[in-house]
Amino acid sequence: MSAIGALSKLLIKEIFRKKDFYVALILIGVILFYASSLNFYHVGNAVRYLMEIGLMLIYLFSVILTVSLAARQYPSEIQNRTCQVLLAKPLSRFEFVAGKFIGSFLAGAASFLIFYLIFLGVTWHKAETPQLFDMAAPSHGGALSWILAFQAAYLFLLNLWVIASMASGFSYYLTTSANVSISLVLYVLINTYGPGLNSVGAQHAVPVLFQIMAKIFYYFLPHFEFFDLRQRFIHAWEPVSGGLLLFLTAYALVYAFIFLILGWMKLEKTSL
Amino acid sequence: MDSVIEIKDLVVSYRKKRALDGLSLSVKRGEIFGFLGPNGAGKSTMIKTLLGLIHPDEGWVRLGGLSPLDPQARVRVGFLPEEANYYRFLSPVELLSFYGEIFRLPVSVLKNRIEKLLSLVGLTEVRNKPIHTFSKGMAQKASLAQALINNPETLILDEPTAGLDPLARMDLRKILTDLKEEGKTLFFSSHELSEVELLCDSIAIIKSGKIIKSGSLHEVLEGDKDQNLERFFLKTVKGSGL
Repeated sequence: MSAIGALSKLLIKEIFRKKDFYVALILIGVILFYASSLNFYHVGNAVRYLMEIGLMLIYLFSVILTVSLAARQYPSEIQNRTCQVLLAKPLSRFEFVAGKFIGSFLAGAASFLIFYLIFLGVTWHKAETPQLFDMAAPSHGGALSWILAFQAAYLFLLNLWVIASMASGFSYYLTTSANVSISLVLYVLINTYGPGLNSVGAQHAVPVLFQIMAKIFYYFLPHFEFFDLRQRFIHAWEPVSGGLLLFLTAYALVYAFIFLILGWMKLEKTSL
Repeated sequence: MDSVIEIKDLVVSYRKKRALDGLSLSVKRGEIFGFLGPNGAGKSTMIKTLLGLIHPDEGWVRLGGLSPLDPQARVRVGFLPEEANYYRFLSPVELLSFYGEIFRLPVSVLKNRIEKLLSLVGLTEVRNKPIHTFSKGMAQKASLAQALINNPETLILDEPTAGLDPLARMDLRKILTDLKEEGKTLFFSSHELSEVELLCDSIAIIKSGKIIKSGSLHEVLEGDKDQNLERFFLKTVKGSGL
């Protein structure tokens, strides 16, 4: 097994041996159980509304778990002095950065997939009509599609990939608490205002400086909202094209690479 | 004998203060080299530089002929830190597997080596217990096992007996003597002068980042009428005027 693989495995062990994951799992379980017991799942479109809330909570828990895990890796290695032993072995600093990032991503992804499977299981079980999930291509507002369920999960995994790389890269510059706060605030802000930045940049009524800043932010920041297929999945719209999935995969890879290089550049110059 | 560790005119500074100030030394293959000095003399900085954890400002370091900043230089090196800080949720078996994987050891080799090392340090019975349940002595044994996981040619030890009880210290001394007999090179910093006197072939005494005395133990003590390392060390460190 490669050194990066060994580091990743260590992080996955860590998350499944610490309480954070189980707290999130219990919370999601309780919320889904409560929602299903209200019998809303038998009321037409309320199903979709509840699914959206459930899915949003799963996304949120997974992002928080991934960010907190990625953000604390390097600071805790420094605090516990474990990185001195680790980097005294034949492990390059880039492998260290990459291993910590991949481990954080895999641990976050594993948690998300467990939550997501529970969510799909509860939704499928509680659906009024057995055809709520249908392998056939969905029509607007019709049956849910397994294809979209898969696409939504895949794109959210890419979302976790980018956010894990961002928190990982920032961890070489910031304390854990500052990193978690900044990463989560950026995540929420980009998701909320990211799509509007381009139109702000194009509005002549806005001062030129703001227009330029809006344009810079629009093209510079990673657009996490690109990876959110919740609406499309829940309201059973058309699946996205393979070309778009490929583009978004490349987009996520490029951003992760940039964040990791930033982290590596800092670590490479640091005396431990 | 060829040199395993070579250091020439090494300078390391922290915020303009020189922690190591033009330090040079050489450690020959198969010898036990003691690195002595009072607190704050620069021993740990020296060890970190030797392991590639700190970048030198001036001078150079060679570990097996390579710069320690090159991961390849650390393939046949083991490191025992002063404090046994590890991933406390792991058991000794998991910890050793993890470090073995970092060294890219094949699974079959790793499995055998873990068994051998657990037996050597006396942790076989607690092999699957998490390290956070261990006493300081037991954690130090796990630490020694991790330092030996790659069957190193050179072992770098930072205050290896600090905080150990006399029994654990005796066990460690026995292991280090056996390692020397196997032909391994040992470089260790210590405050325990009796330990150094018992084990070392050569020593260097450092103060304020400068070597004030170095050579074989015999050479260093030759001109001293007491021929006692502890008294010689105190006299040298106090009288160096640095």
